[in-house]
Amino acid sequence: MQLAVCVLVLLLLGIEFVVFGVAASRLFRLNPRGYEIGILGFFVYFGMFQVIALPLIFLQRPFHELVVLWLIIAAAVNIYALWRGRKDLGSLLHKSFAGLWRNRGILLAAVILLVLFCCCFAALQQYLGWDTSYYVGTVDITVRTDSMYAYDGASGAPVKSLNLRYAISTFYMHSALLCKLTGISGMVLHKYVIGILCIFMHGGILFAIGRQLFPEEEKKALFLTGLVFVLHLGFHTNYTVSDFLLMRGYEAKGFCANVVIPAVFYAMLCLWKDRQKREHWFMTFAVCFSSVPLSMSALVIVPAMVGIAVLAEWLTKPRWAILWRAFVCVLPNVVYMVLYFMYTRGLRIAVG
Amino acid sequence: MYVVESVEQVFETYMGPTVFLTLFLVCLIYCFCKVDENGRKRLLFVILLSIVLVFNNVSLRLVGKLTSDLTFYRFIWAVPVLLLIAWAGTKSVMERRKFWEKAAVLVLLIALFQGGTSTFLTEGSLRMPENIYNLPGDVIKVCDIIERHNDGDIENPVVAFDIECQVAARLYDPSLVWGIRRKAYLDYNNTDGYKNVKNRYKAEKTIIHAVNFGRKDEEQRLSNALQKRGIDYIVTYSSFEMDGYFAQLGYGLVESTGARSVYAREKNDLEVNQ
Repeated sequence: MQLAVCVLVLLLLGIEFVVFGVAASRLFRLNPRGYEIGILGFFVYFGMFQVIALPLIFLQRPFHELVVLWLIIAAAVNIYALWRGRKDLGSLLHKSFAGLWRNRGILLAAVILLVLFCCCFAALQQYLGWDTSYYVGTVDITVRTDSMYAYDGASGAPVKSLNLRYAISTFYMHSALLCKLTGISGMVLHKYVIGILCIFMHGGILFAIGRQLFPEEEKKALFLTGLVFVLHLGFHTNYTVSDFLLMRGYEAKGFCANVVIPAVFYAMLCLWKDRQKREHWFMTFAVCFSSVPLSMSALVIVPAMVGIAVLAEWLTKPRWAILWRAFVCVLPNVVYMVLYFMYTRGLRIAVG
Repeated sequence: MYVVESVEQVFETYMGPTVFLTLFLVCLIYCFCKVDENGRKRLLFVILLSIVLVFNNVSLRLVGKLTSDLTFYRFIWAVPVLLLIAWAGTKSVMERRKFWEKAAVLVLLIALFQGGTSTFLTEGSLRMPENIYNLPGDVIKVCDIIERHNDGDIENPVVAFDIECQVAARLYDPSLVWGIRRKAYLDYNNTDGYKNVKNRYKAEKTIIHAVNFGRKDEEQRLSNALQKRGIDYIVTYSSFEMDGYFAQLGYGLVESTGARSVYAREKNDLEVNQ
C-alpha cells in the first residue's frame, strides 16, 4: 500500500512540475522547448516553496500552516496553468508521445530500462549514515511535533536556536509536507520517492544537455543519457556524483550533485549558444534561485559555476550586459551567503 | 574521513582507482580540437578561471574556514567528468556507420567502465530489503519493544543505543531521543581513557564504554552518567551479558530480540524523576 502511494506521489510531483513550468512560461511569456518545461517547472516549484516556507520557518510558525498555505498556492498555480495554458499542456502531451514514437526502438528501450534499473538499484541500497539520520529525522520530527527546525533532526532533542546551516534550505520541509499529506514515513518517502525523483530529474537534464550538444539528432542525446548512467554504475569511490545518485540520491546533496549542477551546465550551454534569449536567462535565474532551497551545498558552487562560465563568455565576446544579468541571477545566493556568514559569526534566531 | 592537505589530494581521493580523470583530460583535448574558435577560447578561459578562482589551495583553505575543508570535494561535482567522457563516447559510437562497429565500440566502453574495481555492481549489491523501510529488522524490533513498554508514559524517551542501532532507530521512530550525541560517537567511540575527552562528552563516553563495548568496570561513573543524560532506555548487544550489571544500576531487562537487549529504568525510578 505504501509503495502504491509512493508511485502516486511520484506521478503527481511530475505533473506538478509540468504545471508549474507551463504556468511560469505563460506568466513570463516564455517559449521553452518541450523537454525544458518539466525542468523549468521543477526549479520554479521549489523556488516558490522556499518563498512560502522560509518566512514561516524564521517566524517559527507551526508546520501545518505551511501545509495549508502551500496547498492554496499550488491550487492557484494549477488553476492558472489550466486556465491560461491548457493548450500548452495538450501540445506538450502530444509532443511527448510523438517524441517517444519517433525514437522508438532498441536504443530508447535500453535507456529506459537502464534508468529503471538505476531506480531499483538505488531503492534497494541500505545506506545508513549519520547524515541520513539527521535528514530523515528532521522530516519525521517536523511532522510529529508540528514545528520546523525546533528539534535537532538527529538526536530528537529540542534546540535553542535555528540551525541556519539547514534551516535556510526548505528541501526537507517539502518532504515533511508530502509525509503529512500522504501519511507515509520519512524513510519510505525518501527512499522510494525522493531518491527516484533525483534519478528521473538527472536523466531529464542529461537528455536536455544532449539535445544542446547534438541539436541535429535526438538519438545521440538519448545515447549520451544512457552512457552517463553506465558510467555512474562504474564510479563508486568517495563522495562522487554517482555515490550521491545511487546510494544517497534522497539527500539534498544528491539533488545538488545530480540535478542542480547539471542544470547549471545546461543553462550555461544555452547561454553560450545564444545569450540574448530571455528563456535562457530565465532558466539560469530559476536554477540559481532554487539552488539553495534544494541544497545548502549549492550555496557557493552554483554562483562560482555561473560566475566562471559568464566571465569566460565575457572574455570571449565582451558585453557588459551579461555580467550584470549574471549578477542578478546569483543575487539570491549572495543573500543566502551573507545570512549564513552572519550565522557563523554569531547571528541566532531563537526557538520557542 | 581524511585529513585534507591539498587540492590534488582531494582529486585523488575523489577519483579513487578509476581512470575517469585521465579519460576526462583526454576528452578535454579532443573537445578542444573539435569546437570552433570561440568555443576554444571559452574552454580555455573556463579552465584558467576554475584554477585561479576555485581549484587552488588558497580557496581550499578559505572553504575550510567558512565551513570545513572536508566539504571541498563538492566543488569537483562541478567538473563535468562523466558528461564530457559520455559526449566523446557518444561521438565515437554514434558517428560510426556500420552497426557492428557501433556495437563493438559500445561493448569496449562498457567493459572499460564496469570491469574496474570501483563498480557498484558487485556481488551482494542487489538484495531484497527485510522490510519496506529497508532497515535492519532487529532495529525495528528494538523500537517496537520500547514503544510497547513505554506505552505513552514518556513523550520522548531518551535512549542510549549501540552505534549501529542508533542511526537506524532514528529513521524508524522519531519519538526516541538519542542519549549519546553524534559528536560523542564520532569522536570518542573507543575504550581509551578520559584524558583527551572534552568535559561535556565525558558522561556520554562512559555510556559508550558500556553499550558499545560491554565494559562493566565503571559502575559508579556509569550510574552518574545515566542520571546526567536522563537515560530512560538502554539498548546494547545481548552477547555482552549486561543484565546483572544494568540491574544494579536500576535498569531492568525488558526484552531481548536475540541480537540486542533492551533495558528500562525501573518504574519507581521513573516516577521519582517525573
